[in-house]
Amino acid sequence: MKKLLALALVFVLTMSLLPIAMADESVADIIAQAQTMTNEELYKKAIEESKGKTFNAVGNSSRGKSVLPLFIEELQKIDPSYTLEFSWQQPKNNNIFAQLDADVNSANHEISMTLIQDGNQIQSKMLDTGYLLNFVPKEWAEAEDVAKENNENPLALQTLNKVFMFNNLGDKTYTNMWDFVADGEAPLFMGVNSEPVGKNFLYMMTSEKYSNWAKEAYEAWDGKNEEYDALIEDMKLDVKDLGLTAENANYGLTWVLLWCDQYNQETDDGPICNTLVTKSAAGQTGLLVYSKLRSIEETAESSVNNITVAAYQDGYTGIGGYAYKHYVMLTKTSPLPWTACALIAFMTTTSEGFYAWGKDMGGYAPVAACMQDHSQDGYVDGVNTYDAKNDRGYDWWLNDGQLVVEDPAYCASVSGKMSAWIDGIVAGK
Amino acid sequence: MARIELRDVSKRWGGYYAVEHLDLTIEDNAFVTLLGPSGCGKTTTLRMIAGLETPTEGRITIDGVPVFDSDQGINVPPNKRRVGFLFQNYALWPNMTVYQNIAFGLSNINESGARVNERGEVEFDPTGKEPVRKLKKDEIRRVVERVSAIVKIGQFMDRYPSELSGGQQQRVAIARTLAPGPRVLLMDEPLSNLDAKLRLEMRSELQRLHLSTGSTFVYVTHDQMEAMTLATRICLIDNGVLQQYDEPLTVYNKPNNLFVADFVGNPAVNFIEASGTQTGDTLDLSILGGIKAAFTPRGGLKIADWYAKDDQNQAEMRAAAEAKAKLPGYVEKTNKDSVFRYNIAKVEDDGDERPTPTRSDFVLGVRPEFIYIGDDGAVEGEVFSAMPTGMETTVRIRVGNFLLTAVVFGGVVYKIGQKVRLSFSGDNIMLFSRENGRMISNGSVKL
Amino acid sequence: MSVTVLRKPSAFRKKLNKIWTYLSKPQNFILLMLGIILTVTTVYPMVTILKDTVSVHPGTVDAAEDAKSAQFEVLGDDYTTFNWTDLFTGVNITRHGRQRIELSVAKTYLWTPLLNSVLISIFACVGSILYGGIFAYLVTRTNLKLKKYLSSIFIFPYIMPQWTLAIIWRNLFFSNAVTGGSDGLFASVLGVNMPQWWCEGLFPVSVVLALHYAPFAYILIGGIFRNMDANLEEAATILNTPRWKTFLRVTLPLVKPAILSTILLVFSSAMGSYPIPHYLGLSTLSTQYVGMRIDRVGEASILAVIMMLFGFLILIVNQKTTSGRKNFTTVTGKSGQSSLVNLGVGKYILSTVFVLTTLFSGILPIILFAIETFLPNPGDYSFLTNGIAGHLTTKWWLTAENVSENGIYGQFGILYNSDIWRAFGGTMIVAVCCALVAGTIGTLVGYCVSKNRRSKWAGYVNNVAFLPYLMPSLAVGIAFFVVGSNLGIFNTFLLLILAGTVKYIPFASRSSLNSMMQLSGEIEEAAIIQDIPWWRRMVQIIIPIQKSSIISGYLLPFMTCLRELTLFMLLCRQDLIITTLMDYFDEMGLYAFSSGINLILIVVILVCNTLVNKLTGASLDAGIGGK
Repeated sequence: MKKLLALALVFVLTMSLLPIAMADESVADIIAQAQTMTNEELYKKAIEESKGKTFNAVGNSSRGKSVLPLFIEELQKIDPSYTLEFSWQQPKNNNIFAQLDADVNSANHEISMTLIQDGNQIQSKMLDTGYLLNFVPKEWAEAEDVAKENNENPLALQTLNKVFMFNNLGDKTYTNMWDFVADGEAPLFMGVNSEPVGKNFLYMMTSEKYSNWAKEAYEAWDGKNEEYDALIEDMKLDVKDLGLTAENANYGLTWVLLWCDQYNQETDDGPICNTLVTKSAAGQTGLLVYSKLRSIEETAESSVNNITVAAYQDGYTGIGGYAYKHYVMLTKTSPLPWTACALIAFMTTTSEGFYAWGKDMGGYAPVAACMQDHSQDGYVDGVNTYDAKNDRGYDWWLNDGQLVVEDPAYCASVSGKMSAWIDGIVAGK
Repeated sequence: MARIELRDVSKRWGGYYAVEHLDLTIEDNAFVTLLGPSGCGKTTTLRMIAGLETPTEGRITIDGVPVFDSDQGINVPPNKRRVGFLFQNYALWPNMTVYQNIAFGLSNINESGARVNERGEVEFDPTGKEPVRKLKKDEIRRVVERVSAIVKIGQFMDRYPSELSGGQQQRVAIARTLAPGPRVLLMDEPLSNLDAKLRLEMRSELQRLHLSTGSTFVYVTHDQMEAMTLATRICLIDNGVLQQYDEPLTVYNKPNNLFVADFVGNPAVNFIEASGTQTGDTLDLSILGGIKAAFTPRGGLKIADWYAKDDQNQAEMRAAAEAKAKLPGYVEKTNKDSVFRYNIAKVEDDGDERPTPTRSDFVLGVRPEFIYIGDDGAVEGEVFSAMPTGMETTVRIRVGNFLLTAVVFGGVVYKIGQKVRLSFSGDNIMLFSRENGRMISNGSVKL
Repeated sequence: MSVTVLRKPSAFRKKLNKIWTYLSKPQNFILLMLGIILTVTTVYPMVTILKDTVSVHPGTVDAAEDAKSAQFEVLGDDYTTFNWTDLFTGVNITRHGRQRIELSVAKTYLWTPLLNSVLISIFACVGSILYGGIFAYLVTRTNLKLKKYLSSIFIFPYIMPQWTLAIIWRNLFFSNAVTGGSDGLFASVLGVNMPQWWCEGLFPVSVVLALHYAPFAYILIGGIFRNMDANLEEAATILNTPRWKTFLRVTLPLVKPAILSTILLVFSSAMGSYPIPHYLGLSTLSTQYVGMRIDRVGEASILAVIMMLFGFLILIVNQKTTSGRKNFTTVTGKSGQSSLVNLGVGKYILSTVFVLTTLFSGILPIILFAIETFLPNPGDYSFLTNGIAGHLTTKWWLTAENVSENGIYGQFGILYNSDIWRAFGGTMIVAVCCALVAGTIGTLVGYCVSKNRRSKWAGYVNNVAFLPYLMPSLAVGIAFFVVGSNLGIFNTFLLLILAGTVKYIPFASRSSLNSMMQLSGEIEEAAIIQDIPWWRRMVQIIIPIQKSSIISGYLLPFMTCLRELTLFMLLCRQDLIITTLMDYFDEMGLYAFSSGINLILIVVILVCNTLVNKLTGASLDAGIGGK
């Protein structure tokens, strides 16, 4: 009897011993202060705060993990005895929002900062609720060459592009965006509910600018026929039901319909890339993140040269892909806010900090100093060996490449009905 | 004629002989019990007759039809032998009601001219000329009703086995076995799970059943009382070897060897060690630590003659065994037979040295009822314990360091420590050779 | 001399005394405590989920403009009826192919996945019972060849994490031509493109589930066959019953309890599985739940409620079938002197068949896992046609830094990957703690319930301990996610241990209850008479006697925890335990890592099982109910 009571007591005590220590200052105050400091000052504060501790972050990018060793090295230049344990998680299937939510509301806050995508969900689930707080480093705001528009609030680490690619073995050609949705095509694409930025891209296709591009491409398409004409006309009904306002929304919506009906779902862009580079994937297409080309090892089966980036072709008409942003922010309950600020500053303003992404093609930082030139990535010993790897640069992509850029406000406005519309198509495949 | 014959049947696993060269003939309508201690091979023998166990060699014939012959490669499967088998723990199917259990076997019948007569018995056309048919539902019902009336379980038709008592379950099992009307009924210790009173009741039921069905019963038991009271012939088995196959009273009065004498009889027979030689008709023996006794064999047998004959028999058997050993496929028996180790009851345990016996060493077997207690008894003894039952009294008498058990009829009262005088009465005293354990002769003993 | 007049105690005092006497028996006290604790741990999460279905979630459909009318306030919190009305009655415009249709929300998000979930559960039951049951019969009752080898290989698929068979299926059968994506082994080496229905959807999900649970059926059904009284079948044989009739009317009904047990357990496990339908392209309740969490969180919770309802349903069915007149045990004293059924030449044919099938389900996966860890690119089998040199690599094992580009996506090689080893440690902690707590509580439940067989409260405790076991894993995971977030213990070992314990207590309580029931009460009574205290009786008498089944009760939660994903995947971030990490690697297409981890996991489980078996005689199959 007594033993049982004792055991019960111990159990209760253990339950209550969850760490609840809170910082005296709120994270918002710290951010306000940090925004007035230079990187050097931030580093010093970070060393003070987190020496020997563990730093936890969650992010949508796998490369975030390799920033931290460089960050630690940077801080060791100031204090050689500085050490930091860290854990960088990459939740899949949109779990990042649930995890941030749980962590902020937990009694035990672990996550200090996040690298997160999908402006649509970020706005409603993280910013409106105040779970994530924005921090703009002083050196970012005052950088010499910085593209501030759409990159400041929330702070964007980079813009990435997902581009149309196809395996060029065999004799199929893809010279128009509508070629990807022609009869019998089955492009590879990450599931829209596991990678929501894909869904945002589809939403954006119905906005004015991009549906106009869709119309232009359609008019120039050699596969255009009466059936498609009829379908596009019929699509006006859907446009009305979904409450879309753009004049040519029906063109964009038709393209979206065909895409959703025909795409082959994959779990990640990695497998898509690995597939497209193989000899056996002749005539396969995909829409995937450009930078994945960095990790392909040349073998008899797989080669980067088996791939063509659609938009790079002369005479390619239409959209070449879409762009989305990686935002970096602090959690409102960040246990190591100074370190988080320092890390954000390191990542967004220095080329060493951005190196994990900067070393590859397909990622474009707002601060020009972070970026490296990737226009010759395909060159080996001065010879243009892997053409697909030669990145033509952000400006080219925005204009010539005709990238669709995500606009969170527009996405939020149409997602209500369009989300279910898309789900219905996918479910019925 | 449901006669069962076993010729030279053996069952062995590796070198272990469960049944060794068994020769047995069970007459039609006999009630034969297979009796013996645990592990002696009686259940194995039963199962071999049923076909549930395949003999290693030998020949089994049921009703003139060979159902197993190792030489000819005949092995009729158990379902075709048309025997009934009653299992020790009944093996009632728990998912079926009593009615369904009994009717199950009947629904399988598919024979030429199969039908149910007015008495409710199943019949076929043995010549096979009539068309083959199954039994109809109402026919089955009549049979079930008949057999359940016999064993008196008519009121339990809708119950499941788990809702019946042990005795009731057993009767259902009997009914199930009887329903198809087999000519041979094999029973494996069917009463061992019942309490004493029920056991007695069921024994008499089985006896009546034997008469009314006219079938041949083969019954396995380790309870010698059961065997004695039920059987027409008892088949005693030990260590896979047949010890004796006779009517119960013959087994009781003229046991073949020490083992049989000891196994049968309650209370157990008294074994008395004796040594001596024969002079003329009588054998002068020294027993119970020096007491003189004179054993007169019935029919004037000479010990020496007996030994001579016995030696000859043994020599013949040895020769036959050696000849057999030379045949291919012979495997030596690893569970060797040995002379039965008889028990001498003593008051105080003074070790149990048994020097190698000679031909002048014997063992007397005296049944308890042949110990006469009276004032004119020859030897003095002391009452060690007395257990009156009202009908008889079992007395243990101490003579020297030896204990003899006697049974006295009538309500005689003995006090512990009381001095009594005793003699051996009648001429059914048994004389055994201590050397090989076999019985030499019955006779009378004068102390 | 003073005379003390004794007053009759008041009714209240009497009641107090009664309660005190009742509680002073340890089993009653423990029963009371357990009942309360288990009720809380089972009921509270369910209530929380129900609450979630009527709450407003920012950034989802129930917070959108046109849902505002369904909202209302209670105690200052926002609630809404939108989720229920929309899920069951909502209608959306969409397209089926090129056809414009009105699709009810329920069809996409509820009925289709529900139907699929039920179908795969049924097929998994049927498949596993057929495959496992037939194998059990052949091993225990016939003279099949290679019995020892086959029976140890047979349980391999159960030891492996569930979804790895799905990954193997993908890597074998998917092809460019049919499913898009890269060619699997069949397509690239044999040139065979398996049709669509073979690769994705109901068929592969059912087959993989059946293969995974067949060993379970084999152990349960084989246990009954092993202990069955052979006389029952012999009695039928003597009565000239044809073989098929004996099988149908005598053998099968005896095996029915085992079959029913298998059905109940496999059904709920199959329904709650997430990774298998996820990787093989089938929309089920579990995959929909995860997908709906983007913008239909409240409706996703309704799916969770439905999954839980299935758990209740199964519990009720379980109740009905284990009571009743037709129920019987089949363990008898004298075990069969039965002779084995002679298959003739079939014994060679059948054992060959099984060698081949277990090769596919047990050995091939392991070989494939091993090979995968040496491929240059995931799924790149070019070494088969081009020779090993230059086409196999050790980079997945040996890479020791991640700053430069090593072609492994910024990860460290397995041997240097601190994430992997830390996750292993995490899994070990969770598994050991789960086993200890679940095993102890389960044993106590079994003990207390067996002592109070007829009490209604005991029956209730037994049921409430059993319920989470019967509920789909994902539903339990969801429940604990909600609770964990509320209590603020998300991503802690504590939460995982809690969830694992609640789910696995029945492993121990069933095993313990079964063996306690066979223990005669007199054994303890002999000790009670001699005034030996309760804890000493437990530790020195009861536990040593029941040692084998108690240890099995600890072993089973341990093994299951080691390879559990669905239960834990919502409760923590990916690096806390090894199975979530493995799933992450599979999602990312880094099959080398997940395969390597899988290999290590299998080895660990096999070693543990063998060790415990040698040391204590307990083992996985004894725990499930084999002996």
